[in-house]
Amino acid sequence: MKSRTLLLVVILWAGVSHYASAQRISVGVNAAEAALLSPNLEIGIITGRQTTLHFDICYSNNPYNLSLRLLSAGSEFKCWISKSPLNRLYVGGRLQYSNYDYCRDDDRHYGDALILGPTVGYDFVLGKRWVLELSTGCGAAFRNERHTDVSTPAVTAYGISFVPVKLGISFIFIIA
Amino acid sequence: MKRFILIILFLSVAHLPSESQNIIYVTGTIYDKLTKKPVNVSNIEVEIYAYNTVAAALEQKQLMENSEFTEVVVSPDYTGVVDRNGYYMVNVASTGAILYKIGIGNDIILEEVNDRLTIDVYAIVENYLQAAVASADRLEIGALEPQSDIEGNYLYLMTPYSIPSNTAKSNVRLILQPILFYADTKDTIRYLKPQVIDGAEYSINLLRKMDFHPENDKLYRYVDKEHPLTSEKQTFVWSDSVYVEDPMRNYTVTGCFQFEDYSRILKYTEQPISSMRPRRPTRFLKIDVAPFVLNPDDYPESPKRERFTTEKEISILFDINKATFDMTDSITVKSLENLRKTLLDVIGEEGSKLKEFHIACVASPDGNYEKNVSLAGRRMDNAILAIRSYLPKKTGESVYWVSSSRVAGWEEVAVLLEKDGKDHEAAVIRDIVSQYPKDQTIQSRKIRNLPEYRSVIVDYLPGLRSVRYSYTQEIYRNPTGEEILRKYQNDPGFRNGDKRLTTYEYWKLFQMVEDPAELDSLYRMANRVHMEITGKPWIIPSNALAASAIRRGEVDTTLLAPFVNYTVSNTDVRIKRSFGDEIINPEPVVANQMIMYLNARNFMQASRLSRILKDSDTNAVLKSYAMALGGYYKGGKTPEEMAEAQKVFHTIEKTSPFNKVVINLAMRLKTNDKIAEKTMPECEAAAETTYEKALIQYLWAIIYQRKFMSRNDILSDMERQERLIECFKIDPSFIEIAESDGYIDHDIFQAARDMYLIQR
Repeated sequence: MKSRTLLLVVILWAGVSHYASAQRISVGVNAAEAALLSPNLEIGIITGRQTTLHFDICYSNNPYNLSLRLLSAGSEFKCWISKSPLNRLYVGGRLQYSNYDYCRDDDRHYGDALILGPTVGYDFVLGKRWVLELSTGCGAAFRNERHTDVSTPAVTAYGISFVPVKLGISFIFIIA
Repeated sequence: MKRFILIILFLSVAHLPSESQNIIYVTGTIYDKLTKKPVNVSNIEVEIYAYNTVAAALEQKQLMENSEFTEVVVSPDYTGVVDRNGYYMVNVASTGAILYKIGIGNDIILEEVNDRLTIDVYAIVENYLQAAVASADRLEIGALEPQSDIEGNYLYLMTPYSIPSNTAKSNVRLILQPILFYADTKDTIRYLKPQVIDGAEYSINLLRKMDFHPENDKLYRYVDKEHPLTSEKQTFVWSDSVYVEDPMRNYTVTGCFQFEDYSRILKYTEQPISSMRPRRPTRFLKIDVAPFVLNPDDYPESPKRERFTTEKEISILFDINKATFDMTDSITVKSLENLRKTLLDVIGEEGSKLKEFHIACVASPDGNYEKNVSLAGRRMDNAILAIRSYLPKKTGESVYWVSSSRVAGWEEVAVLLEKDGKDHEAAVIRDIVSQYPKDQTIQSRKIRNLPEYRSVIVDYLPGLRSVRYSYTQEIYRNPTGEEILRKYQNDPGFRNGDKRLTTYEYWKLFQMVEDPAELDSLYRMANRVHMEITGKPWIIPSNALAASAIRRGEVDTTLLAPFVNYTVSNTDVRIKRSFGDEIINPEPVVANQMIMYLNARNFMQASRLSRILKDSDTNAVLKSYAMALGGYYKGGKTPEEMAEAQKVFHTIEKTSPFNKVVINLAMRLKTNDKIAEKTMPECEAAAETTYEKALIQYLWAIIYQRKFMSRNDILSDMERQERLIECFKIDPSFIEIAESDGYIDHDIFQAARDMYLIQR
């Protein structure tokens, strides 16, 4: 776990630091995740005339008394149809790593998942530096999961599932 | 106690009748009530009438509101003046009222002054807006009724243009790039200031792309920040004032409309956005100012020694291989005889002395070089001796004799050959010269052996042989005026310029000769002589020639240009010199030059001179002409400017009936149109020439055009055409004027021209 976390941080840091120098940067919060009591943060970097790269992290710990712990980190590459980043329609692709631990009625699922899939979204210009983004996406999740319940010992399973990749109602602020 | 109360009562009442009506200066701005922006007076007619009592204003307002097509006689106590930006000023009693009539069909606004010095007015100008919106229903981008005026050297352009719905969007930028052309030749003159309109979304996104520094956008300074682009139907106004070198030419402006997003051009179109028929309000203003004369006593000349040098070529042949003249050659004999006569004339002239004589020859390069040099030198020495013998011995001894000679190089022959296209022969000669650069004798020998020598080269040698002489004479004379005049009248040599007079003699003659044509000829000769002696033109004849040109209606601004010093901002500035006072910027010279520039329609230069010319009664009219032709007879941004404009206007009004009509029509206000109409009978009585008679009909056509625009009646419609036809009949040159004059309706012009051609 520790080594995975460390690896995650290294990847994120490497990605951000490569592009962060002298680029326009935005920060955002996904209101949908926040509504689920899951603090999250997204950092976006404008990488070209019509492309941006975003990194986000979200942590959820037993929201609304649900037995759920979730740590996810992802990156998303967006291509803006309007040729102006953070404005109007985009299509993109998302890569996300999640570590989860979910328990319901003694039925516990915990493990890691790597999720990959396309996304699409629309940005509304609220002001010079403010943007409201609505986004969604779905894709495939490659799971390495352990499943256990009261009666059976833990079983490790690998699998691929079709999952929603993203559901976002994000407020984004352009810093520079 | 009672007495005390009575006194108090008396004092409180006594001041009432003694409250006088002060006439105050009221200013303000007329705003469009809907848009809260100042009305553009170029689009909409504004009339301002001031009355010293509220009752009089109310009565007039009722009259005006109740009239339909009948003319209302407006008799205000004062009339206001309003500029393009809706800023007005008017005199009125502090207890009076002001009526504002804005546009056609709108309510008349009455404002009681009540001691206010500033009264801003908010008027509904819906009627005008509705008309614009109705005509803006287009499928394509296009200009709506472009307007252009030429005043002074400036072309004022104002064009509303419409963008149909769904042409633009909020994430799009519109760039309008106007280009100025000559209307006749279609040559591009220059690009004008662009107009940029951004959609709201485009504006924000561009700001982000520019790292939130809007000045990084190169077009930022041209962006219209108040009116964003939308997908709705919109009307924008483009306006500019452009300096034009020649205000009498016609100009046209094409607008390049480009819609673009962040990376590509979405739509591009070119449309004309100016009127090809500009208005020239002061075109017919006649500058009736007599030229100014210099007092010769301010520029006295005194007798002095003057030196003249004359240089000529002479055709002389020498005996072959000898230094003596070939007296068998008739041309040589004649040339020497002419030279002898010339020198004897010089020494025989009164007060004249021969000071120097130079003679120089060039020999051709054929033959032995040293021998040629020696022979040429001996020939020149011999020539000096011979020429010296023509003069009395004593005279010859006081002359400085100089002779010189040289032998031409073969390179010079090559140059002559090349000029005639004989490059091969020239190349051969150059080749030989380069082989033997230091020995011309060997060069000659080698060239003589060329096969081309006899057939081609030898014909070019005589062209190098030449003899030139020059002599310097000094003249000093101090005759009386009568003596000068007698000499001038009796000797044709002085009258036709063959013989010279001194500048003192010319100066005297200027004051004695009376015939204008002869005087002009004398001035020109005198100027030429002065240039030779001093290297500068002479102010007295230059000014006199300029005055003469002004009287003839001709323009020559080069005559007086050397005498105007723009670095000195005043006239008649006297500077003490060793020889006396030097006058910088003499007032008559500056005034004449200003008249020349006005006649040349160069208002920029005329206005520069206007700043130098000091204010005086004699100059007031001239300065007013300059201001009026530059467009400064109306408007103004400050009360001082507006007062100055009014002063110019009234000064021009007083110059002549024609000018009164022209300047009133130039105001484009109904009140002034009526004044112009009332003045027309005076013009008709004063008209003498064909041009003036035709101009009267032309001005009537403009007046009836204005009446038709305001009343839309058949009588005015018919009259404007009839008057134009009559004008063309009297002077057909007005056809060309009317064709490009924005004051005349184009359809009416065409109909009148066609009718004239049929009736001719």
